[in-house]
Amino acid sequence: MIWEPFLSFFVYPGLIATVLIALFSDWVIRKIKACLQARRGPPIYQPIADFIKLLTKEDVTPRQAHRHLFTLAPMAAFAAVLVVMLIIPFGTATPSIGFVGDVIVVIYLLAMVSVMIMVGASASANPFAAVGASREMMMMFAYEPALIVSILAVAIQSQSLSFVGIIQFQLEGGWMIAKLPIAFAVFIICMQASLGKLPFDIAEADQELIGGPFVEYSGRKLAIFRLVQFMKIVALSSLAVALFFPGPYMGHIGLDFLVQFAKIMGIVAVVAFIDALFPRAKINHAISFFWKVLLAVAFIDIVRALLF
Amino acid sequence: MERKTQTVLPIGPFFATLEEPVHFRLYVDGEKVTGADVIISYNHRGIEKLAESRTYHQVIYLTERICGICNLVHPTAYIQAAEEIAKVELPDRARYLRTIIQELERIHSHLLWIGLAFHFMALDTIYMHVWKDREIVMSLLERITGNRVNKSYLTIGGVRRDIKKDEIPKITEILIILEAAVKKYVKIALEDRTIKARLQGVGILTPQKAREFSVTGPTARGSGLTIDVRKDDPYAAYKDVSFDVVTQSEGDVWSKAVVRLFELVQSVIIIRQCIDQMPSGDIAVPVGEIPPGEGIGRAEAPRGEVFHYLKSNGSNIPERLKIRAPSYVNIPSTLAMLPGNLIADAPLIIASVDPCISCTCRVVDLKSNNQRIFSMEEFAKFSQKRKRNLIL
Repeated sequence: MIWEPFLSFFVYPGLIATVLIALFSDWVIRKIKACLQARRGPPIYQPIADFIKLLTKEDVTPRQAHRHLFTLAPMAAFAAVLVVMLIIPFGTATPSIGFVGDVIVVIYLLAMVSVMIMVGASASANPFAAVGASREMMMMFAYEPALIVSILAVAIQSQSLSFVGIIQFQLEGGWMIAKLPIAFAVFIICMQASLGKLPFDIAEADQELIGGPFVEYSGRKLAIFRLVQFMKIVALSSLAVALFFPGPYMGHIGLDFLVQFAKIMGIVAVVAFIDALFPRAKINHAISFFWKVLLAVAFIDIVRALLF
Repeated sequence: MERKTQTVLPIGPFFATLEEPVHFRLYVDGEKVTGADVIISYNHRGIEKLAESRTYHQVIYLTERICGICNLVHPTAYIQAAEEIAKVELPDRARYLRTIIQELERIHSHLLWIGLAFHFMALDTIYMHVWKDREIVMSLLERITGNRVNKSYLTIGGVRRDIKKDEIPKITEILIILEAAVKKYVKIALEDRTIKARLQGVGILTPQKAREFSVTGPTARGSGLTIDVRKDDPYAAYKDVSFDVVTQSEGDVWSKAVVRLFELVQSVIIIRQCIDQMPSGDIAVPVGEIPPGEGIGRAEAPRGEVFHYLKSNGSNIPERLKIRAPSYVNIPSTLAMLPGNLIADAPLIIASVDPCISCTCRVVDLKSNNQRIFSMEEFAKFSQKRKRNLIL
C-alpha cells in the first residue's frame, strides 16, 4: 500500500523503533556495567530522561566555530545511521530498501557517521576537539580495514554483495557464525572500536580530553550526537545479526521482531561486558593491534571462505 | 636551530577529572609533552589569616577544614605545635588513639587514591569495587569518631572520644575484612600486566630531582628516599609500634603506586598493634593557657609531611600559624616528571603525587589592576628579588 514505505521509514524499523531500541540498549549497557561494578544502575527511563534534559539545555555555538558545519554534522550523522537501519534487514529476509551492493553502502554510511563526528569536532575551534578528531581519525584507519575484511569474508562465502543474497544463503545453508567464527570475532572487536567503547574509547577519553570531539556541543546538537551513538549500537548489532546469524523467519511480524530484538540484546550485552572489564588501550597499541594482529587474523577467514 | 611547533594544552582550572581548581599548562608537540607549568593558587581561602582571629581551640576546627582527605593530620600537626609550646605530656591512651585514627585515615586516603588511579586508567569497575571497600573504613571511622569526614576527634592535650572495651571485638572483626580487601588489591595491582604496562616507566622522578624539589611522602619514597616523619621524628605512639617504611627505587608512577599499596598493609599492622597494646587511662589532659613561645608540629599525612609552625604571645589567640602541606612541594615536582611523556599519561602523572589542592594554596599574587599569571620560576625569582630588597 502507499503508506507502507512511510510506515517502515518512520515507525518500524525506521525512526521510532530505532530510537526506542537505541535508548533501551543504552540502558542495558549501563545496567550491566553497574551490576559488574557492585552498583545498582539507572532506572529504565534514564536514557530518555537524559535525552529530554539535553533538549532543554542551551545550545551554544562557539563564535569561532564554523557555524554551518557545526550544525550540519549531527544532522548528517543522524540521517546516515537512520538510512543504515532501513537498508539492513530487521526481522525480515528482505529489507525496506534493498539492492545489489547494499552491504558496501552500509559500510560507507557507517563510516560517514564517524566522519561527521570528525567534521563536527574540527568545526568546533577547540584544541581538545581537534585532538579528539585526530584520534577518531586514527581509530578509523585502524578498525575500518579489519571490519571491511570480515564483512568481505561473509560476502565471499555467500557469493553475494546484497543482504538479500547473504540472508538467503544462510537460510538455506546455516548460520555464517558457524562457518566463519573468526570473522565474527573480528567483527565484534571492530564494532567495539567503531562504537568508541572500551578498550577503544580513545577518541572520547573523558579522563584526558573532557569530551573529546563533542566538547563544544551542548543542548539539542549534543542530544542528537549522543542518540546517534546509541543508534549506531543498534545498527552495528543488526548488521552483525544479518551477516552472521539471521534467524528463522516465522512470517509473523511480532515474533520476528522479538527474535531480532533478543539477538540484538545479546550482542549489546557482549559490548557491555567488554566495556566494563577492559582498561583503555593507548592509541599506538590500538593501531598496532588492529593492523598487525586483527587484519591478519581476518584474512584467515577470507582464505577459508575462498577455499570452501 | 629548528623551531618546534608547540601547542599549549591547558588543564583546568575547570576540568572534569580534577575535583579542585588547579591550572596546569602542558606544552605539547603532537602527543608528547615537552614542558609544563602549574598555577596552584585557585583555592586560597586565607586560612592562615583566619587563624589569627580565632582562639586556639577554634583554630583546631579551622585546620580540620584545610583538606577533606587529610582531615586529621592538619589538626594533629597544629595541636602538636601547641602542645610543644605548652609543654603538655600526653596520656598514653591518647597517643595510641591518635595513632589508630591516623592510620585509618591513611588507609582511606590510599584506597581513594587507588580507586582514582584505576579511574584514570579507565578501569572503572575496579574503581567502584575499591571505593566500596573504602566504605568499610569510612564506617569504621564513623563508629569511632562519630563522623566520616570532619571528624573533630583531636583536642589540645588528647582526643575527645574513647573507644569502649566492648567495641574492640567489632573493630577487630572489621580489620580482618579490611586486611583481606587490602591484600586483594595489592595482589591485583602487582600481578596484572595491563596495569604494570600502563604505569611503569611513566613520569620518572630521579632521586636527585626529588631532593631538588624537596618532595615528601610516597612521592619521595617512590624515588628511593627513605623519609617518613613517623620514623624520623616519631609522634603519637609511633615509637611504640613496629612497622616498615616502604620504598621503591624507580621513581615512576608504578613505584609510587606500589609504595601506597604496601603502606596500606603496614597501616593495618600498626592498627592491630595499637589495639593490642593500648593502655587504659585518660584520653586527654586539661590544658590551660598556651604560654608565649614558638612551636613546631610535624605529622605524616598520606601525602607526605605536614608542617605547622605556631607562634603564641600569651593571649588566647595565636599570633601566627604557618602551614606547609605536603602537596605544596609535591605538585611542583610534576613539572620535572611531565616532560617526555605522552598527553595520555599526564593525568596519571599528576595524580601520582596525590595532589590535594586545598592543602596547597597558601599564596596568591595579585597586582592591583591586571592579574599577572606567574610561572613557578618567575614566582621564585620574584620572591628572591623582594627578599633582596628587604635586606638592602
